Amino acid sequence: MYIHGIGIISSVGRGLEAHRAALTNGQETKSSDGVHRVSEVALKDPALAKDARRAGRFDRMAILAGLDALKDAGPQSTAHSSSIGLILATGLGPHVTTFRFLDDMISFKEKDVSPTLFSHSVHNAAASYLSLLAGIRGPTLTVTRFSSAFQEALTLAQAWLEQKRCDYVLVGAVDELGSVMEEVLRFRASGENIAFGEGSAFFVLSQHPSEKNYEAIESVQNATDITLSSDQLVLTERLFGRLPCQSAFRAAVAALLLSAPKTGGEI
Amino acid sequence: MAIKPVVISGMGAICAAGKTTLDIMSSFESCHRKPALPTVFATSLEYPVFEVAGFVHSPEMMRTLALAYVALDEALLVAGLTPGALLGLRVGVCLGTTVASQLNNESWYRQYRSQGKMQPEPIHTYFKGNLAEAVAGHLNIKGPALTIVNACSSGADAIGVALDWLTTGLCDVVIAGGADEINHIPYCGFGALSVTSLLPCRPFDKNRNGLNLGEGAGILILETEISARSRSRKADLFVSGYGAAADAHHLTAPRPDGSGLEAAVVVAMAQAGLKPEDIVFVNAHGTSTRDNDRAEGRTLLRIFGDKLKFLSTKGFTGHTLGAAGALEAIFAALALRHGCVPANIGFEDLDEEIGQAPVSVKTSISGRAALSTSLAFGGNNAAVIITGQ
Repeated sequence: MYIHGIGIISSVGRGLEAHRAALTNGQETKSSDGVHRVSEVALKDPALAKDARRAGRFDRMAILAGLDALKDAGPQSTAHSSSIGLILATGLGPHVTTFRFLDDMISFKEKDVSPTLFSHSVHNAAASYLSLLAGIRGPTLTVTRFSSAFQEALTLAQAWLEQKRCDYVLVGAVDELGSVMEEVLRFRASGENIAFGEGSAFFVLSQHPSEKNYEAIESVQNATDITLSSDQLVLTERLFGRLPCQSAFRAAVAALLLSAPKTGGEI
Repeated sequence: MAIKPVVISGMGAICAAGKTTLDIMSSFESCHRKPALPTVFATSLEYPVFEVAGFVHSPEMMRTLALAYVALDEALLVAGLTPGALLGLRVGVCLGTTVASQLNNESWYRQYRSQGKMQPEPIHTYFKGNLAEAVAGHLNIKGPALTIVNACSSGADAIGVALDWLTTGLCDVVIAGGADEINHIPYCGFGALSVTSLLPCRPFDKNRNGLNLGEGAGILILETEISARSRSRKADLFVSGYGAAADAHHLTAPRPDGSGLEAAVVVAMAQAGLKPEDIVFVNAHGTSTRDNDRAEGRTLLRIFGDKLKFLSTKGFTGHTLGAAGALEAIFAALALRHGCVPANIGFEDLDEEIGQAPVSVKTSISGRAALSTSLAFGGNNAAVIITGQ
């Protein structure tokens, strides 16, 4: 599968240039509370003002990374709305909104809970926004696993392209880090000092070569079969923190490293 | 381009209409349904639901997962597959859900909020509850495993993903389907959206005023023809096509013109190499909400014409969310096998806005292809074609 476009938002910031610079500089991106949180500034965009004004952080991260990937790929990928499919992978879903809805249930009468919070608490709200804003009318799926969700999404994207379900697939991952879930994750980590993170990374993939300087994805293996060196792990965790859909960020880093100028490119 | 159909070598189901496929067919036959107020949580609301009566499970396991295991056991038994036999095959797991994907344990969260104390058990239950991961782990399956969280089309989409895995040669066998439980969060949420009814639901009826939530699980064992033949399995039912398309319209309402649903149906029929006149009946999504039934009914009429037999089985099961697409594909397959479709229970008066009535009594059918449709929150549409011999 050929990579036609990449979009990424993380504690580093939004966009490829910010991430290329971070890879070059090796900058520390943890916020003052010790986690890798996406800044509110990075989440501001006029594209969200009208049709996605009620979207939560989870949705916004996915929308911005997805739209950026499509923009990076150029107009040909969205020339025909039915020829592009969408697969969004997540480990934990929009849990902040779920907890907000639970807050509603606890604080108010059952009949007075917010319908908006409920409709945004489902995992596929982000993909719905993305399809709406990008005009995607091909197959649209949201998938989840606590591990390897992005790898499985890539495998499915490959199957869709082989089956000619679409000419392009916008495939990516998103996870957010709310305060309750952070505490849950720390509880599970049994005292291990981990800097958790959040963000979203998307790719536009196709079976035909791209005009971009990105390499192709040759094959997808189950995560249990992959061994990364400690240096590689340190590199991605230092930038993005640890999150369930981390492999999407590793893939984005790999694509950016491989597309760096061959002369003078030091990352 | 038409694909090679995949064999349905086993099916298992559990829902309010019965705890096995045989029980459910018997309820359909007798037009028996009994929606009632929920018993699995306390509530001041009065929306009836379709609960699986007397279903008991370990508190260490999500109810959704426990329901899935009941359907899984039946499906594996019918398919003649033991866990040992699966080890020699390339097996995948693809299951749809909505509720089981969320850390939504209300009592745990109440305690956390009031005391700041984090009870460990609900956290462990949640992290052991991803349907596909859990089933793959339970059966020691090493192939692809994916949980689909596409709201109400999740079960149908899981069948579609399985079809693609089998057709592209990734797997010999896929455990596909969906499961969901009656839960306080969607109960309040759907109520807040004003789409639930205080009465038993009436899909496609002129006076319908909302859905009833349900719970259950539907599991299909899908297999390549080569694999089924090598195991000397009888092949009389097949998944022959799947299509999916987004509305790109609204977060909770379907596109009124039904063009997303139509696009999904067109793709599914092309995969199956079928024309509209080949479809004997449609087991429709038919939630009994004003918007869904109007958009879906009109679209089916536009594609298939006024001779079409269609129905919704949600009058027997309630809306089982992530399980619905899988359960309804199973019901379509069983109807093809038995040569008759059940009544669209709850229907009485024709809705002129739709322009056609569903089957209102048990009806004989002859032919070999059926369509099951699913429309989801978020605007996804899915269509699954089931064929017989």
